[in-house]
Amino acid sequence: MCWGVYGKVLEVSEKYVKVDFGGVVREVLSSLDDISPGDYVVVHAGLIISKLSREEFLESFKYIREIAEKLVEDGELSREELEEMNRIISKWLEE
Amino acid sequence: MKGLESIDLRRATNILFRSNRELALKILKIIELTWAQLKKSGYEHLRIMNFCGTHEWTTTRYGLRSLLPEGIELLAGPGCPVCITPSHYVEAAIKLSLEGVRVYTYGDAYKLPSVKKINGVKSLDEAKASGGDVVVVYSLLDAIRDVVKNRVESTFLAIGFETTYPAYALAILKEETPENLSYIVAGRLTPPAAEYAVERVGGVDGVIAPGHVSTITGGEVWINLAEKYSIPTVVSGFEPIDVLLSIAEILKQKSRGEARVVIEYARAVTWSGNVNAKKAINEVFEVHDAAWRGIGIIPKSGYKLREEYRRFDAFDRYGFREPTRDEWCYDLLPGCRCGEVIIGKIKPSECSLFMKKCTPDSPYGPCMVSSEGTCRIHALHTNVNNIDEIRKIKWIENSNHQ
Ligand code: SF4
Ligand code: SF4
Repeated sequence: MCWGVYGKVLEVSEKYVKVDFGGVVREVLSSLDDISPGDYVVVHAGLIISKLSREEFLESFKYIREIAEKLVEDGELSREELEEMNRIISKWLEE
Repeated sequence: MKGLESIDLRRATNILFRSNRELALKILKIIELTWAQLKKSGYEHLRIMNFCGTHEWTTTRYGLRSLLPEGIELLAGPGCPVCITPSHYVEAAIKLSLEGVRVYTYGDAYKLPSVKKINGVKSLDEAKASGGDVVVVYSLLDAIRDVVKNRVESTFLAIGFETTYPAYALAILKEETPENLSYIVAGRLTPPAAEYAVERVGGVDGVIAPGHVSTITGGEVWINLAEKYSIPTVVSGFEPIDVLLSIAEILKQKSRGEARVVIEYARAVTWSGNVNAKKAINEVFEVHDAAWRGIGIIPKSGYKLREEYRRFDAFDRYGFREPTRDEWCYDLLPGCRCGEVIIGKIKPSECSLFMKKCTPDSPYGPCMVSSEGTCRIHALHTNVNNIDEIRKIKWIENSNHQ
């Protein structure tokens, strides 16, 4: 039941935060103080529970890169395949 | 290349983590290679458990089980607050609704069946049909606005895990809760249940920890699983790529003989979590030994209002009581094996009522009710366990992966 939905903050007032969920705009409450327009947030049942971090957005791939490096070292994976994976990971930034 | 500063993170998540077959295949290859190495060092099986209905949904919907190499098993643990909400809360809510107290509930719990019938009624849905006052809301804020507008005596069926509880705590602390609104405090904590399931099921080699619970608790709350139980634990996001990355990390830790907590879902989760929200929960609630439906009492696994806020407690207000350890009785209907499904001991198909007496259209047990209930997920997406069906799913189309 605790689906988190991503939305973009439009407006912050004293009590409520207006969030755009891909076209549908809703007023929600926030459990965080440092929310400003333009932030992307995770909303659960009408409450902002987290702010999406741009800095950490690609951190998910830190560990898989480590694993892939190790496989290259072990001779199980070719360097080209590792580079191909890195290319796929950064490709979307241009889209 | 555009900078990350200007990018639409919603869209980016879809492109990078969801509809990304190409990347999925690469990660699957890395998983296969790592698994092959592990097998050489003697592994035959690897059992990875999730604690979140949304992870189970992703796993089943995207057919991840069939895409993984043989020998890697994904188990669904206790991951849905609806399924584990004890029947006595539902019964109290039904009773109040029939006695003229307005009961607010999230949609997920609307059809949740109770064990005992109250005036011939065994869910809030049926209570409403018999004239009970039941209102389904999307958020607590909707309920509060309704109470203020209509000045009705009312109660909120406050189910949920750590993710849902900050809202209740903040509404009390910020004095937004009207005095004629009370809460049926059915909240539960996930780590104690995770440890319980891991102990009961045994042989769990890795844990995919719930991402949204962890936005609040932080990654740190899982440290016991890693340190005390020596289980690699990865806090994971909810897209298929997130789950595959988490599986790869668990395999890596296994191959290095490590057991650590790692946050894959770094875009939303930090090590110490949402400090504001944790503080609010702590101020308003204390933790007690609490019942889980079909399972029993798990130590330190439930929220209860602190003395200063007890006036908002529906049980206090209307004379209900939590069962003690001795009073608790098994609260599933005859034949329903939800208790075992919830802790990952059996699969839904092992319950003899699955898709016979118990279906998504006519749920018999709680795990068939919530959209994140394991039985319901398996009932609705069961075909996806076959590779031909998976090919029909867009992101994996034309996959030559077997
Ligand atoms: S997101 Fe939270 S409530 Fe929803 S299934 Fe996961 S852990 Fe459970
Ligand atoms: S299939 Fe239905 S009856 Fe069987 S365990 Fe699941 S919810 Fe219970």
